[in-house]
Amino acid sequence: MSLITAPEVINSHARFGQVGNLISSSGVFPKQSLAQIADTEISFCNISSSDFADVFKFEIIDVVGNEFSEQIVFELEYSDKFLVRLKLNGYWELGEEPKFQLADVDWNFEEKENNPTSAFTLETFRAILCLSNKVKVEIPAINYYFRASVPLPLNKISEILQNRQIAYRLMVIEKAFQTSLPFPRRLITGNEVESIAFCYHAITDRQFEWACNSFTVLPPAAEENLKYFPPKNAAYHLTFPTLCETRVIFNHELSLGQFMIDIEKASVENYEEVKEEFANLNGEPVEMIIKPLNGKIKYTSLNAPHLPRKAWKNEIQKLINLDEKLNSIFLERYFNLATSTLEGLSQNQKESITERPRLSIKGFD
Amino acid sequence: MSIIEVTFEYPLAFDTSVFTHLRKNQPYVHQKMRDYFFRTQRVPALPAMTIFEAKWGVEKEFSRKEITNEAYENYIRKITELSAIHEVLPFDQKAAEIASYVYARLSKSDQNKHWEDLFVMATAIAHNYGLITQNVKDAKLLAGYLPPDVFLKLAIWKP
Repeated sequence: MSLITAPEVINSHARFGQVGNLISSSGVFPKQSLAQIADTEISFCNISSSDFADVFKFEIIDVVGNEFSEQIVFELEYSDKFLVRLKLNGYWELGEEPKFQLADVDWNFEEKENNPTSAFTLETFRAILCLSNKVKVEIPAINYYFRASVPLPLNKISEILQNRQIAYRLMVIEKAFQTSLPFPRRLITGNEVESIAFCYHAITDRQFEWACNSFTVLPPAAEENLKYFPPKNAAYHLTFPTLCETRVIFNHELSLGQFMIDIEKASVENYEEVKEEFANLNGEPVEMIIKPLNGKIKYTSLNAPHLPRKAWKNEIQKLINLDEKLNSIFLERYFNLATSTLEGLSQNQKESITERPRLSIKGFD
Repeated sequence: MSIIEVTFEYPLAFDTSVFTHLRKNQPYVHQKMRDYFFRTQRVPALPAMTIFEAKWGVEKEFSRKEITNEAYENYIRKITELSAIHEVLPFDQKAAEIASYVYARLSKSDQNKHWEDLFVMATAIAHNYGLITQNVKDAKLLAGYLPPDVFLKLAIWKP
């Protein structure tokens, strides 16, 4: 009989980062089990965390490896959403009962479909892996498990959480618009992120402030517009309803309906020109450049679509509910690292080490 | 006034004082960080000047033999680790142009008092970041000398 076993500490790698530590295992993994798992119609692998209550139950869809392999690969599928390729690296210790000495583990991930829900589920799983002190990988059918940590620098975890947030916002937009959007396997641009955020806040917050340097409107040169045009070129409080606002997300045009715009202090950049053209009263559109002096506009949605009640299945809702926990663990680590830069110093030493440099004025003369 | 208060998801950068308060574990920074991180899933950026100030403090203490070699290496490593989590904003050509414009218009005493804040502010503006600060008075003073059509976007974090 052949066995897979693991030393106390082995390494764990993730596709997106870092070598970490694998902590312990149940010790034995019969060689025949590889064939058993492959032959069995459905076998499961549970991956759970020391810090999160949820257990991710994966279907084992393939096992590649034999008693000569230095690598045994488990291909795991989670709920039609994503695949994990778990590569157990090690070597066979020959003997009466050959044992596989587990040295390290590689984690590779793949979304099954390019849609926001798959991306959200995968990114939540990756965030749990990286923010947990240890995760347990268990194959109950053969009574085998190992525990690993999958450390990743906080900036990389932040990237995972940003992707997760974008995916979630896209899910909200999909539900509200009853449409399907892709989650592209490429860098999502700043403009795309901004359009996604705008649609998301229109749906969920209804009223929100948005950064804006200036924008152009085209009111007709008509009596009514002339009447409301400020007599002097000075900042004024401006409110007006928009026509239908649209945003394009990954080539899908989404109509958000009308908004009421509120600008606390608006100034007209091309004031004289606009005043002159309005005075013509010829009904022609007048290009008017408006600049919010405080750099922001308050939008109030009049008829943007709503997120339906009970929008999510339980399985997804549970992952959404992890927001607080994921953020808290991340920030705890961040605050600890920030504090460690002054750890062990007395109050006086802290003041001295953080005092600001003072240059002699002569230095710049 | 060339100051604009930032909207809630605008990308932000620390000024040195608030970054120091973060290192000193001040609860108000934690609370503000929570709000910011929950909305953006990122930590504020760090102007290169802020890293200079943080590391200068350690270098100064070591050069004066106030801390041991071991402590020196540890604190430098920790600041490097902490910086690596942040996007670091370099003091580049655009920042240099903004800083030189303002610096030339400050009084001698303000030049001496505020040159670090000016470099930090110019860096944030040059990279289109809002600046997190507690010191509105100084921010207003410096922003008052910004070139036309250049604005300081400000996030005021106070206890």
